[in-house]
Order: sequence, then C-alpha cells, then structure tokens
Amino acid sequence: MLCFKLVDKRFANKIIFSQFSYHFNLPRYCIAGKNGIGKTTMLLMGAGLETADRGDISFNQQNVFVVNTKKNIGVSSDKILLPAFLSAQQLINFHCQQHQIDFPEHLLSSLNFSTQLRNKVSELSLGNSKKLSLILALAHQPQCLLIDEPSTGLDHTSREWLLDYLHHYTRNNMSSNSSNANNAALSTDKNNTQKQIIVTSHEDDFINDTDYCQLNFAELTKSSIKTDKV
Amino acid sequence: MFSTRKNTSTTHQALVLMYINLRSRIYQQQLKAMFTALTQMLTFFMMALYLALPALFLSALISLSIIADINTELMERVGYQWGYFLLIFLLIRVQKSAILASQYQHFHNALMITNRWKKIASIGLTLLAGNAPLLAPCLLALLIPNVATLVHQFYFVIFALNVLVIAWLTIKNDHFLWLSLLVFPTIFLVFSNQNPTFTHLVSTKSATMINLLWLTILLLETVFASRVLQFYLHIKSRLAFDQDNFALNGKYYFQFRLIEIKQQLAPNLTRLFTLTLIIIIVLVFQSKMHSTANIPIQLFVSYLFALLIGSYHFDNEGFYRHYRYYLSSILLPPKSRFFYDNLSTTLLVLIVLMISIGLLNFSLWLLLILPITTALTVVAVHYFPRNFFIAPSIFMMALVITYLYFK
Repeated sequence: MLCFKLVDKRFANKIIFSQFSYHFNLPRYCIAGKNGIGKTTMLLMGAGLETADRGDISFNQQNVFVVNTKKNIGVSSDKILLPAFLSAQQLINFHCQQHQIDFPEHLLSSLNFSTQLRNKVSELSLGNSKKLSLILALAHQPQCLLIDEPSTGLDHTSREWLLDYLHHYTRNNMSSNSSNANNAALSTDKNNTQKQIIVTSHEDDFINDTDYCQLNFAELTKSSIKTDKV
Repeated sequence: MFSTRKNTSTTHQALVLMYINLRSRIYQQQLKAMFTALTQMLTFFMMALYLALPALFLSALISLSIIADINTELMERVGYQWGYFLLIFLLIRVQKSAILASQYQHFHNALMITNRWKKIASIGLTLLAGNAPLLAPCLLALLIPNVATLVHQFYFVIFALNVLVIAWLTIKNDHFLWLSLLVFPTIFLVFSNQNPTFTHLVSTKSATMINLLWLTILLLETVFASRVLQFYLHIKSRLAFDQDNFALNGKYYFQFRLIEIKQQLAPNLTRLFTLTLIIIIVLVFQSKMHSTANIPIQLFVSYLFALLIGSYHFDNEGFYRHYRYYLSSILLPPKSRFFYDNLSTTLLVLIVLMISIGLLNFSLWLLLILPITTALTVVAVHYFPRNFFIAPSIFMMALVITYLYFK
C-alpha cells in the first residue's frame, strides 16, 4: 500500500506539502480537491516521478524511486508528456518490452484505440492521448494504479468501460456476468497480492460515479487527506 | 448612425493596433526564449570568437558589395549569391515560429481580426527578422537613381527580388528550398567547372540571366517542389513506419532515442558541419604550410572538437527536461540512460580521433586528451550548463602550460 511519511514539497516559493503523512491502507480511493492543491503532484510523487524535498514515499514498504517498485506501479496523467516522436504502436511496444508482457490487444479493442496505432503521439487528439496514457498505465497490470483525472476527454463508451474496469480491478474473484474486458483484467492477474487504485478527479460526474466503482471518496486539503467513507 | 459607424471604425482600429502589438510582443518573447536557450553556446562563442563574430556578420554585407559589382565573375557571383540566399533562409527559418506566433496559432486565429491584418503583421515581422541582410538589397535596389542605371543594374533588382521571394517561401513552406538552394547552384557550379561552353553561354548576359534563372526556379519551386515533396514524404512515411517498427523489435532505450535523434537532425547536422569545417580548415592550412600543426595548435583544435562533441549533451539534457516524468516512469536507471545517451558522443570521438591521427597527422597523445576533454565537457554541461566551457578550458590551459614548460 502507498504511504507518504512527513513529505515536504515546494515549487519555487509555493509550498505544496508540508509534513504530509498519509497511509493509503484501503484498496480504492478517489481523491478530490481544489485546483492547485497538489492532487497531481501527490500522484506523481506516489509513482516515483516527482521527488519530494523531504520525507519518504513507499509502496509496500519499498521506496517508490527504485526500479523494482516502479514495475508494480502504473500511472496515467496528462502532466506526463509522452514521446511525441514515436507512433502509438512503438510506444506501446517499448512499454511491453520493458515490462516483458504481451501486446495489450484487449485494452486496445476495449478503448477502441486499434485504429490509432499508426499515428504519432503528437498527432493524437486529446481523447486518444488519454486512452494511450491509460493503456500504458494498465497494460502491465500494476499492483498500484494511479490515475489523474481519468475521464477527461474520454468518449461515453470508453468512460463506461473504464468505470467497469476500475470496479473490478482490485478484486481477485469476479462474478460470472462481468464483461470480457474485466475478464481480461483479472485473467492476467499473476499473483494474488492486493491491488490498489488511487484516482484523482475534480469532475463532479466522475466523483458521483465513485459509488459505482466503490472508490473511497477522500478530499485533499492543505497537506492532509480527509476520508468520507472508509 | 454616423456616430455608430465612426465608433465601430475606431474600435476596429484599436483592435488592429492591439493585435499588431500582441504579435510583436509574442515575437519578442519567443526570441528572448530562444536566446536564453542559446545563451550557453553564445557565451562560449562570444569568448572564443570575440573578434570573428562581428567579422562574420559584416562578411554578409561585404558579400553584398561583391554581388552588386557588375564585374564580378560568374562563378564567384553564384557562390556569393548562394551563400547570401542560404543566410536569408536560415535567418528567417530560425525565427519562423516566432514570426508566425505558431505556438499561439489557435488563440490568434480566434481573434476578430481580418486575414489582411494578420498577413500585414507577418510581413512586418518578417522584415524585422530578416533585418539588414534582407532589407539592404531592397533598399539598394530602391536607391537606383534613373532608368539608364536601372537597365544597367537590372541584375541587382532581380537579386533583391530573389531575396524577398526566398524570405516569403521560407515563411510559406515547412521544407528546405532544395531545388533553388541545393540542386540548382550545385548543378550550375559542377557544369560550369566541367564545361567551358556552358560557362561562355551563360556569361554573355551572365548577371541578369543567372538571377532571372534563379527567380524562375524559385517560382517553379512554389508550384512543383511542394507536390514532389509531399509525394516523397508519403512514400517515406509508409516505409519509415515499418522500418521504425522493425527497429523497435526486441531492443530497448537506445533505439527509442535513435528515433528521436533522427527526427531532430538540425542541431547534430550543425555540429557535424562545424566539425567538418574545422577539419577542412586545418587540412588546408597544413597543406599550404607543408607541415603538421604544432602541439599547442593541435591542443586548441582538439579543445574545439571536445567542446563541439560534448555540447551534444545539451540535447540530452533538453530531452530529459522535456520528457522528465515519462523518463522517470520507464524501468531504466538514470545512470544506464546516461550511458546509452552518450554512445553517440563516444562514437563521434572515435571518428574524430581516427581523422585527426590518420588524416591530420596529429600527435598520439590525442588518444588520451580528446576523450578526457570531451568527458569533462559532458560532465560540465550536466552540472554547470551556463559555464560549461570553463572546466575543459582550464584543463586545456594546464596542458598547454605543461607542454611549454617542459619544452
């Protein structure tokens, strides 16, 4: 589980986190909060992409900046600029080769992304860039899935699929009536270790859907997190 | 009603003025950003080539006097005009996105300004960006006092027109003017070298004829070259896709980076061009002097090589900054990435060493000195980007002093 211990973070003169400590001990979270409060920064720090000025960030007691820990983390955020010079297929290939996994055909078809494979990342629309970012975050079935504003730019079908996917993501057993995409999500679950999802969103629509996904709603305020229903 | 119309007209004028002011501020801001990025290199060049830089700028204006002279030989004229046209192309190309405010394209397209004013703003900024090299030929052509002189110096008017057309095409097209700035002058120089009849044929009304010919080719380029290029790019993109996919099969980071380098060739080509230029200059001087350069000169040349090759790390640092989060997310430790990214630097050092020792007959000590100076430059670029040249300079000065002391 993701854990922040006494984390300080500032950008130029602006203090984002001061002595921020939180242990994400539940499998599913939806973090809301005002613009600029630090949701994305927290997520990027949790994924080991942004360093903290002080303090420790760990996932399952392992430092998130270590390569072996990063293998278990998947992150999707618009803040992560994907290499614009590659085609979508090249980027997914590169990702698969790093994680030594098969090409995620099921994700591509579920998100209706197969027709975009030949396009360069720089040529993708906002929605398709979001889909690509999600594919990269989900493809290796990470134990810790961090998604920033998951529904921004997604079309209705993809959004529905994503909610369904998140709904089943952390469960090791699944009911028989679940969709193919969810079957795929679970069939590739190699070990039975507890998975965790942390999603940030400021969209009311998505926050309302957290009930469906059974995400625990939490609010990030200045250097602290308040959970509503845990 | 009259008052309403007057008010509308005043509002429109105010809007136009605001728009032109906005475009000029975007131009200034982008130019400033570009200079900030180039500060490190410029600081070095200002220090190393303190006197040479003004001379370099003045040489463009000096070449204008040679072009304006009716008695200039045809070959010389083509050479100078070619250089001048390339200078105009580069000057405008480098500032193109700032001139057109491309970064804010969608924003200024949404403004309630007619296309006419947008074009006027672009023309004004192009003239400003082209500065003396663009304006000087036009002003000289405008200063021709009478019709008799105009007829006599008609070639210069066409030359000025060519300069303007090149500036316009550079703004209009995204690609290099390969037909008029590469194919035509190359074929002309090669043919006139090998075929005296051809030279004689063109020489009869040489200056005017060559400029008219150049203008025709420039105009042809506006019509045909872009179509040919589009076709070529279409074929290339189809082939490149499979090629790139093939390149990524089974291999990792260095191939990923190779694709990026292939698409950002300009800075590397500039470095290669400068390296080649230095090698040619040393070669020419050595052949004129009938001897190999002495050790301090060899050290100075290897110092220039090291700075040029090591400055490639600026590209790496820029790449790291741009894709900071993505690169942090991939499963390759930064040290390994650093190693892969400097493979091309190592390769370049090896090639330059082979040329320096094999072709220029430089001392074998270079086998040690060049890699160390380049490594020092790379480390300095990483830790002290603004003053990256200080560490290799101190190292090189120490070497020269040591050599002179023991000599």
